[in-house]
Amino acid sequence: MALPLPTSDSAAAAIAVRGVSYRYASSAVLALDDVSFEVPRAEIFGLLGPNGAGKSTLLGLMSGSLEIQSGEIWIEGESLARRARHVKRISAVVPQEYAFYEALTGRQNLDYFGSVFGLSRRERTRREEAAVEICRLQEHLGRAAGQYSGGLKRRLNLAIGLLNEPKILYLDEPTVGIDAESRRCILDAVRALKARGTTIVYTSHYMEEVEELCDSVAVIDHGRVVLRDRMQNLLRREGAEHLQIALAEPTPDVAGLLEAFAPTHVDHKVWSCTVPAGRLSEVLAALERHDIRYERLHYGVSRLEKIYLELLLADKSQREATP
Amino acid sequence: MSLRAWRAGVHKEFLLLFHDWHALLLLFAMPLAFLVIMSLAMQDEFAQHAGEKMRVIVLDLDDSAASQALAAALASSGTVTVHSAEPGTALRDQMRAQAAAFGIEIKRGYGAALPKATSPLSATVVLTVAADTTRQTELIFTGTLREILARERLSAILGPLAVLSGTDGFESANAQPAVEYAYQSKGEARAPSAVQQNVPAWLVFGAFFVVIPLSNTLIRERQQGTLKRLRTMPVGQGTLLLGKLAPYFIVNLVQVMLMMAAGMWLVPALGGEALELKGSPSALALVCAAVSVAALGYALLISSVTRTTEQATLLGGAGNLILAAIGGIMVPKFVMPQAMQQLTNVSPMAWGLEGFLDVLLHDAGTREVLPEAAALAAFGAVALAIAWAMLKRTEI
Repeated sequence: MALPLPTSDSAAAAIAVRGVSYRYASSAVLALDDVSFEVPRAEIFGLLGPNGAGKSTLLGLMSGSLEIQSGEIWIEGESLARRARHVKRISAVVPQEYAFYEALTGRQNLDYFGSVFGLSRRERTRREEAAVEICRLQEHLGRAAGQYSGGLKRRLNLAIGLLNEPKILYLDEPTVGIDAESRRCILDAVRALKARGTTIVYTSHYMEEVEELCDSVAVIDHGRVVLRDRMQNLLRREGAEHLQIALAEPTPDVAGLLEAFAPTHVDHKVWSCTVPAGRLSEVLAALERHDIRYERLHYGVSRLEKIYLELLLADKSQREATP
Repeated sequence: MSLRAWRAGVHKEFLLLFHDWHALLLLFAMPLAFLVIMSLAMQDEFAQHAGEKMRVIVLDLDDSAASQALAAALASSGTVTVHSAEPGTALRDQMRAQAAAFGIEIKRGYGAALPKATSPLSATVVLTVAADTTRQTELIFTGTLREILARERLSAILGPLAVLSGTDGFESANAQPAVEYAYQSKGEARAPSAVQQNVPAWLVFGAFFVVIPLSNTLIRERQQGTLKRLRTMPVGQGTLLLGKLAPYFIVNLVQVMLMMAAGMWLVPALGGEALELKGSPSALALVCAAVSVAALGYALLISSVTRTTEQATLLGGAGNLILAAIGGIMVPKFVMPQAMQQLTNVSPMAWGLEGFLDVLLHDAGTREVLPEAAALAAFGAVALAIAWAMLKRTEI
């Protein structure tokens, strides 16, 4: 299901990855195998893939924590290999780990990382205040970061990544294992950053989150890009004839009622089936006839999770079929 | 190098260190405790090697030329100082009062019995050993005493023959065994006192213990992704590492001052000998700096070859103990057999200790301690270079 890459000028893209391969010193196999794609400016780009697929390696290469072995990466029109320091100045990484000092307070952490960027005290203070505001950390800065809840730690992790006001921001699973409030705070911050023109590369295992946030997406598996498309196109194309029904209450009769449309029980009250455009009215009439009430209907739009899982399954079958 | 980033690194390392009470105890309290305990515990042992002689009190009841010759022979043996007993006070009381190791009572009739080969001298010469005198010292002294008595008796028997042959008796000094300490340093062969040995020894030992906190913070940075984040920032590895090492260099200097102060004031306050600061301050500063460079190189090398804090603590701590054991820190070099004294030369801790002893014992100047300082600096530089390359290559 690998799709052709959209072609564009490397200089126009926020990020252009061209033919990048990488092999770890301790491994015989390629962690990345001839990876190419582009990320337009001021977009949120979802980078998906199972554990060990090569996402972290790709993030490491794009952010400069790993050295490029073959291929090229261009960031905001600058070659990462040739102008690494400049590129690092305009980009930032928020790793999946709590990449700060737990013994230090939130404020001390921000001061330290701000100083590493070489910011003057005044500039550092201004940017710290902005980062603290966007991540809603004002009341917690005086405490040791090790005493923070998981959500606060994620927010501090993000705030540190905002200190250089990056044009490119890499977010590696920024919402994993946190409470709803912190998750909402981080997603709001991501949207706000996008609105300011920041290009964001976003990795997550939460497909709903990616579907909600990202403008385009790439799926990596076994070091190769197996899918690259804009989110809307992907959901529409893959979801043609796909109808998802969220019922008002659980009704097992739906299976028999919609038998002609190959119904699948997705969740508690959610069913999906394949309905050609001309026969959609038949489904609605049947539901009405049997007095089955529904909360919402999605037609012609697939869910990213379904696409993702089918894609990985197809990729696995293809690899197994290849000698 | 970004000065601002470097300063921030130094500040951050100090903050982390001040939050780590275990590390502070390890760096300051542990070597200090060793210094005080060992200086006080080994004071007497070191005193003997350092040339301080044992006291012997002689109670001469015979008061003959022969008994006076015995006391004189003892005094000229070079191993003891002889004090005459006060009349009217028990010998044991005088030994206790004067902290004497031995008391010798020469009874009446000693002079008469001496030339008679058949009369046992044990009847006229009685040795009393103080309770705190070690068994080894006792054996050495009784051996010396027996040898002196044998010589005195031989001299008494053969004396008339010597007159006939024109020789003027036996030169007791010629019969004295040559005692030399195997401990060799620059200049004269001289063993240090307890405090002169223990202050630099535990100071060097403590300096090398920066390996534990330094490797732990670096490994935690690697494990927690902080190092990965720092690598994505516009700052070089040199700036980051210098920011990390500089605070520990300062810690080493504070350790030196603390240990010196303890040797000068704390140890004497507890009944030990005071450390006298001799030698050139610049030579002392040079040795301090060189020891610190070696310790920092060692610490960074351990940090780069280990993956977990447990590994670093085990390897760094055990490595320190081995370097200390063979480097003359735990067991002073001068009591080691020749082969072990040669082996000490492989330990950088021994080079540091030697440098400090040169300054403290032999008033060495900068030029004299240059070989030790250069060896330490070279060790540190090589270790730093290897660690640097390994950290640069590490994929995180």
